[in-house]
This record gives sequence, C-alpha cells and structure tokens, in this order.
Amino acid sequence: MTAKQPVFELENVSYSYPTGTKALESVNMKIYKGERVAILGPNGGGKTTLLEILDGLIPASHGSVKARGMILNDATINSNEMYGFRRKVGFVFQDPDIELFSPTVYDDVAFGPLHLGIPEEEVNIHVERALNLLGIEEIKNKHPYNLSGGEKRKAAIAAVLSIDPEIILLDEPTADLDPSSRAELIEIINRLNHNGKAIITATHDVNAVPELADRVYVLNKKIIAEGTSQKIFSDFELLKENNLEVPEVFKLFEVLQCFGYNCEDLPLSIDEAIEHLTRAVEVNGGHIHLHIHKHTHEEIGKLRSKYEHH
Amino acid sequence: MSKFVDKTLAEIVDYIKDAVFSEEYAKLNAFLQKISPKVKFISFMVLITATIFARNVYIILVFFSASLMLASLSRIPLRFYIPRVLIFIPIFTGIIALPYIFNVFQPYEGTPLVVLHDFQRVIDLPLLRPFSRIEITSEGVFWASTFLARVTTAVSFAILLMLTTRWSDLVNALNALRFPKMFVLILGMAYRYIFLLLDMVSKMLFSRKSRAAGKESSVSSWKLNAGIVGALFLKSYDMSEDIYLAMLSRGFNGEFMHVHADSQPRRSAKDFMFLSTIIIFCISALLAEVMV
Ligand SMILES: Nc1ncnc2c1ncn2[C@@H]1O[C@H](COP(=O)(O)OP(=O)(O)OP(=O)(O)O)[C@@H](O)[C@H]1O
Ligand SMILES: [Mg+2]
Repeated sequence: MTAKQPVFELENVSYSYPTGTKALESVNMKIYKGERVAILGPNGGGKTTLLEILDGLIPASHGSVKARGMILNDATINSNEMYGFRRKVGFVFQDPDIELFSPTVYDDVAFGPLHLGIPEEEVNIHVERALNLLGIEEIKNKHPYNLSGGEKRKAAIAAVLSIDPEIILLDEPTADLDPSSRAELIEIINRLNHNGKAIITATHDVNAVPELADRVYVLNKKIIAEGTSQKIFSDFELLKENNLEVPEVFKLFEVLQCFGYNCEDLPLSIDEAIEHLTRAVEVNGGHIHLHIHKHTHEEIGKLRSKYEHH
Repeated sequence: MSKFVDKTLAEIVDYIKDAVFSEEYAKLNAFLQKISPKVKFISFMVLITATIFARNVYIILVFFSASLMLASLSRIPLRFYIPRVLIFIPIFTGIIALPYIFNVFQPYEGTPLVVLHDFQRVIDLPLLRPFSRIEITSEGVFWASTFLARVTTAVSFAILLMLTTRWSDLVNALNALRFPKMFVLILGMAYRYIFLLLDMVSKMLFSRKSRAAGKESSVSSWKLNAGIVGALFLKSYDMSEDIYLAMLSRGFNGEFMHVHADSQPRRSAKDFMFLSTIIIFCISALLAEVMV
C-alpha cells in the first residue's frame, strides 16, 4: 500500500468559517489509490468541512492540500485545471435534497457528465450505466421530492457515479436508511471499491465503519487517532472522549468473553464474527464452550457501567 | 383564532402541494393528459394571454367556464380543482390589485365611494396622478373585481396545466421550445425547493401544535410564526450555499446545460386540432368582446 503514491496529502490543514468557528486544526493525512478510508467523528467534528476541502470546494485557511499531484489552494480551485480533477473525484453530499437539485432524477444524474464536457450523445450511456449500477432505472423520470429516503440516497450516488470518478467522497451515506437499504448501500459501495475506486467515508455510524473501511481517522477538529478499525475500536477511552463508541458486534463479543469465550482480537462486523466463530469452533474440536464462572457477574457489571452514557 | 390560523396555514401548504405535485391526475388517460406537453403548454399560454387581454367580465366568465369544462373532460373532480384555484387567488390578486381601488394609483378620475383623507390641497407625487384627497372610487372597485376575475381564470388555466402534465414533461417542453436554459434552471430549482421549505413550515407548525396543545394566546402564536419565518430564511440561505457547492462539485461553472430524458411523445393530428380549437376560441371570444 505504501508503495503507491498518495491521492490526497494534507499537511497542517486548518479551516475557520467566516463566522469564526474553527472547524479543523492542523490536520495531517495521506490517502492512497484504491483505499477504503473512514473519517469517524462526532457531530460538528469537521467531517463535512474536511470533505469539502478534499473536493476542492473550499480552500484550506492554513496548510497545504495536495490532490492527485495538484496543489489545491485559493487560486487553483477556481481555475480550469479543476475540470480534470472533478472528473476523477466525486462527492456525495450528506443531504440528498442538496445533491438532487434538478427537476428529475435523470436530469440530476446527467448533470455531472453534461457539465464536465462529456459529449452530449454519450451522456445518455453514462446516465443509464449509473442508474443501472444502483438499480434505480424505474425512478429516473420522478421528481426528487416524491422519492423515499433510500431512493434519494441512491439517486444522489448515481448522480456522482455517472462521471465515473476514481475517488468517491461519501458524507454520512448510511444516515436515514432502513436496515435493508443500508445493507444494500454498503454492498454497492464495496463493489465500487472492488472495481478500483478509492472510497472515503465520513461518518459517526460506528457500526458502518468496519464494513466500509480498512483504515480509520478519528476526527474531532484535530486528527485524534489513525489506524486500522481493529486498532481504533480497541481504545475505548479515546472513543468515549469523542462521543463515539464501539460497534454492537464488538460489544456482544465482550459479553461472550465474560462467559469464558476465549479470543484476542474481537470481531467488529457480522462477517468478521462468522469468521471468528468458525475458527474458534474448529480449533476447539467442533464446538465452543461458554459457562458462568465466579467472575462472570462482576465482569458483566463492569461492562454495563462502561457502556452507560451518563 | 390561533387555531384557525394554524389550520389554514397547514391546509394552504397541503393544497398548494398537491395542486402542483400530485401526479395522480397527470397519470390518468383522459382528455388533456393525452395532448403532447409542448402543444398543451402553447395552448395554455394562448388561453392565459387571451384571458389577460379580455376586459369584459362576461367574456372572462366564458374563459373560466372553458377551464371548468376542460377540467371535467380531463377527469379532474371540480371539488378538487376549484379549491386549489381559489387558494392561489389571494396570493396573486391581493398584492397587485389592491392599490388600484385608490384614486391615487388610478390612471383616470374616479367616482369617490369613500373619502379616506382630504388634504385640502393638491399633492403631486412622481409617477402618480396629482390628487388632493384619498378616496375609494367605484371605478377602482369595478376595476379590481374585473382584475380578480381575470386572475382567477388565468390561475385556473395554469393549475390545470400543472395538474394534467408531469413536471418532467413540462420541463422538457420548455427546453424544446427554446426557453433560456438559465430560466428553466431557476424555475426548476424554485419548484424543487419551495416545497421542501413548505414541508419544513408544516413540520414546525405541527411540532408546535403538539407541544402547545392549543393553550397559547394569539399574540404568542404570531411571535412563533415570525420565528418560523426567520428559521425559514436561514434554512434557505444555508441550503442555497450548499446546493451551489454540490453543483460546483459536479462541474457547474455558470453555464447550464440540459438534455431530454425521454423522446417527446409524438405529436398527432389531435394535438393540432386541440391547438387550433383553442386559438379559434380565443380569437372569437376577444372579437365578441370588441363587438359587444
Ligand atoms: N457554513 C458554515 N458556517 C459557519 N460554521 C459552520 C458552517 N458549516 C459548519 N460550520 C461549523 O463548523 C464545525 C464543523 O462542521 P461540519 O459540518 O464540518 O461537522 P460534521 O463533522 O460534518 O458534523 P455532522 O456530523 O453534524 O455532519 C461545526 O462547529 C459547525 O457548526
Ligand atoms: Mg457533516
């Protein structure tokens, strides 16, 4: 991974809004080609601001931002050079009602290709491909106002995928989705990553992080921590200080540990859990053993107080 | 009183919403729904223009009956249609027609109905007629009511067009008719976001109602309404900033482009029949007016 050149390189990046709010303070990060990275942080932690800087929509107040070999600053983000950049980097906004500003879903999906210089006769191909990828062909003539939350989210992603970017920035993609739309969306995002696209997800949904990222930055104005999901979620105190916590699956396995389940790295997602249990069962000759020992109640009590949020 | 205001506001929001948003009637396979959007748009523009030029109240009534007839031919129940027309009237008329009942704003001398104030000397203001008294004139009242009838009829045509045409078809028609792209973009955005903001208003009204449980005075109710308007402005400002960024992110640089989603439904002989009937109808109505 380190052999590859970074697509984003941030050094000491700070950002203050005109109102005086300091949203980011000396952020350093490197993101590589084809990577899956999560930016995990509480509400108001600066996630959206950071993505807007990565997408070259707003210039950093201080520090340097390098994206695909290009310096993003006040001057360059308004120059014509940005066209090449915008064809390669797509940003799905947090609120689909912002992303979908056109009268129909089709118009929204066609907006990117049309404005990024794709010849008019090819636009339709791009649009149909993006609609097909998300399975939303049948809503293409609908007005965004009449769509359900899940349909809106998919339409918003299609609107960005139609330009076929190699880096996709997603802001809170799992918010407001029902469980089945959510699972579907996670699968779609991972399929895109399989096809070589870098996926950068900003979220406070800790349960989605292990499913959407291999590497995590914890952001609360500053970069609090960086590492694999495994590493980040093993530091409970750090998460708690930043209004975050561990995935539910992780908690469940901590409970199992109190009942004598033996393991070192606890699984973070259902997939990991299946793998974990399979391995444990194999090692133990076909079954796993759980029991109540003399510390079980004490440990469960400790666990409960650990996850109480008041 | 405050309850009444709440109820009406929420109702107005709902009425406006399904007047323009419901695709229920646009999907029917009835008379106007079968006319191609482009031809329908032109025909309704002709009807609205003719209505605006009509001066005789009876002729305006003829136009209004025509809109009712077209609505029933298109299987739109009148008890759904008429309230939605009426709800738009105050919005348009009130603001535009009200000044004209006063002599000051009128282009001609009028017969005073009510004298509101006598200055005892001639006041001469730029753009206005010189006047010495402010009075409500009978010509003014007559003019305002003709105006009301005219607006009602024009609005009824506009709503009928929206009820019987899907929005995407309408936008395609505007583009096909070579309306300036920026105009279509702004119109589309206004249409897109007004309802989102209206939704926000009805949600705020709703949440307030659930908390206040009808125990507030009308004064505090109006204060809260002012708060809602304030929040609305802030929200729309924030949204416009973000929408601009979203457009920028997808390559917008001030020039707007558009393609057609679907091939326009083919125009048939029926479309031309419809358009010519409308044109002949409008011309004869206006001629009848000159001769009466
Ligand atoms: N347009 C703006 N003007 C002024 N301050 C802003 C603006 N947008 C965000 N902020 C402030 O900047 C800080 C970071 O906001 P940001 O939206 O980047 O956080 P976030 O991590 O995306 O939060 P959330 O999880 O709620 O989406 C917050 O304190 C916020 O109030
Ligand atoms: Mg955000």
